[in-house]
Amino acid sequence: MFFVCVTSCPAGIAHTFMAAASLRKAALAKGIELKVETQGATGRDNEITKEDCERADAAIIAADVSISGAERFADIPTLECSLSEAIKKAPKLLNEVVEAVR
Amino acid sequence: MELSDLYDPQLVVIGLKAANKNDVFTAIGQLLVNADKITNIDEFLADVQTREATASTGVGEGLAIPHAKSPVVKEASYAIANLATPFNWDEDDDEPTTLIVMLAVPSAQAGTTHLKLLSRLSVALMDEVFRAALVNAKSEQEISNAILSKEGK
Repeated sequence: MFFVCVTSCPAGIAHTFMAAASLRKAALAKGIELKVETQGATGRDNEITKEDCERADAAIIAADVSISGAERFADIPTLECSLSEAIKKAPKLLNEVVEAVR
Repeated sequence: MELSDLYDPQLVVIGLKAANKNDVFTAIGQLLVNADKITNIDEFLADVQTREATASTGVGEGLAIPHAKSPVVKEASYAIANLATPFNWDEDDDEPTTLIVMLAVPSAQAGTTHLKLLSRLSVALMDEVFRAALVNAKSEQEISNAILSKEGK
């Protein structure tokens, strides 16, 4: 499976990147391919492209603020969650998404 | 540039006595003033509170990373405090917070290198061994050593 994900927090310094790290780690452990775009204070990193979205089975938006470019995921099953959920419970979160799109 | 380059021994507290978030904010805010990292404590604390109100900066595993981007910050900085008596960062927490790492970031976008370093520090804090070293540190030197060792020095 291939998931795309965007993380973003109000200041864009700490939690954006912690959530990204946590989700990447959990995905690796489960053998899920995951691309995470971080929208932080230093801008967008690892941007999710149209091609990524075409091939993605699901999208995860882990944010405490509204993200830019949410319309990219209009045609993909999308789970929205808080950053603290993504940081603390990434494996559980991924399980939910896997179940939902299976 | 490495985390140790941004490290300031004045911004470390071993066994901070605090009963709640506000005690922590005030104590570390004062350190930031003393170390000449911020120009106005009241404005800085107001920005920290605003960020905290948006979503708690408690991240579980006994760690909280309060922070603010504020015009009164002169230089990107981080402060580290382990607590004398752990307390629940938020009322509904399952476990008490033992370690606080506070980030202060200037409003101006200048200094991207520093911002990336602070982001890297946040991610490094997800490492259990590094976190434990900071929580159990009994001196400023031990904190400094933990950071150097995390960087593989």
